[in-house]
Amino acid sequence: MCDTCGCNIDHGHGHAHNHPHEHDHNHDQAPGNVDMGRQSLLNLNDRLAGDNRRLFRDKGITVINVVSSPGAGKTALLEKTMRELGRDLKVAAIVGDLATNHDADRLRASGAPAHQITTGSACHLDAHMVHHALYHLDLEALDLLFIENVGNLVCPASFDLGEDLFVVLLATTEGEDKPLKYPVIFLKADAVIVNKTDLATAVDFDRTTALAHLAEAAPKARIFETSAKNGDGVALWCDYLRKLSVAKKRTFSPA
Amino acid sequence: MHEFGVAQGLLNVVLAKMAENAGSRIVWIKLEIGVLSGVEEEALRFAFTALAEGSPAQNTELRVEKIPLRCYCSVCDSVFECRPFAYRCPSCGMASHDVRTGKEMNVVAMEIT
Repeated sequence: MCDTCGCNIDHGHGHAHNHPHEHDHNHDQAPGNVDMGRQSLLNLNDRLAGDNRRLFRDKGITVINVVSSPGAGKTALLEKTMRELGRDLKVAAIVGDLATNHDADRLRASGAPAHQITTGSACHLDAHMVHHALYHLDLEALDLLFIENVGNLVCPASFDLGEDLFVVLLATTEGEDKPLKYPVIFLKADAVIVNKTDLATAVDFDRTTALAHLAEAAPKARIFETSAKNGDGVALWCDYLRKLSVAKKRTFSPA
Repeated sequence: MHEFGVAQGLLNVVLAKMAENAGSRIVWIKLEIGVLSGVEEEALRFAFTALAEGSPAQNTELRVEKIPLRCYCSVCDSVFECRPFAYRCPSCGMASHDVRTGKEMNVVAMEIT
């Protein structure tokens, strides 16, 4: 895999000049204006995300990128989800945090493999980190892979990981207007999960307003409402994931 | 926070191009940054200045063109400009999430001397 990722070479397509050779190229356009071809600064990430996506497709793995602010309940929901889906599907998780292995330890306790990425200071996962984490999982025996991103509603929006489904969690404790405050990430959402419904009354969560804001800010998202604590709504969410997995296997099955 | 990563990507791209072209330093770089790109212009400038120190991109002027968010309305068959989270066609009021511009993070051109 790593030969295609190129992680042992210069990441910016830089040309390492540690070997003697003749520079025999056209100098017509220099000095002066250079056309850079409108290339994207996310080119490298997008290319690696494309590699991840091809690999997932070949293996028939459905991949879910889960983002939220810190403490919205990503890990708790994935614990419940993986326990439920683990009964009939092979599931695994990659989880990103700045430090500690706490989340991977918790997810592993649900009975499925989990690999922790500690990003140090990075505020998001990128396609390259995910690519390397894949070495730690048995992809041959996998139906669904959850990628629990670093808790952050800003940066993860810019980095494609090769996922099928981009999911944003919104806890009732965060308030109804989060989707309006973080429009970029909500616009990208394929699904939004309103979590901690068990606390909605205690924190005066205005469900109608929240759903109206989601309709504006996350127009293409399918909405789920769950309590990772008592399990409400988790079955519907899991059914949806099962259907996604079946559809992906049917679409990309070599047979 | 990821502006440093974006700035490093920019530096890699322009320095690689420098290696192909005879020249001593980069005068300016033209960029397109969409309002939905997640890149804050000032943070990017700061990060690029810090990273470019001592390279041919030191003191390079970043010419940033802000690209507005534009969505497509299928009812009116027209493209309209809007603010993030107000994705409604001004003519018919229809909501649209068919984003046509605003996610750009592109290097367009540069001048080297």
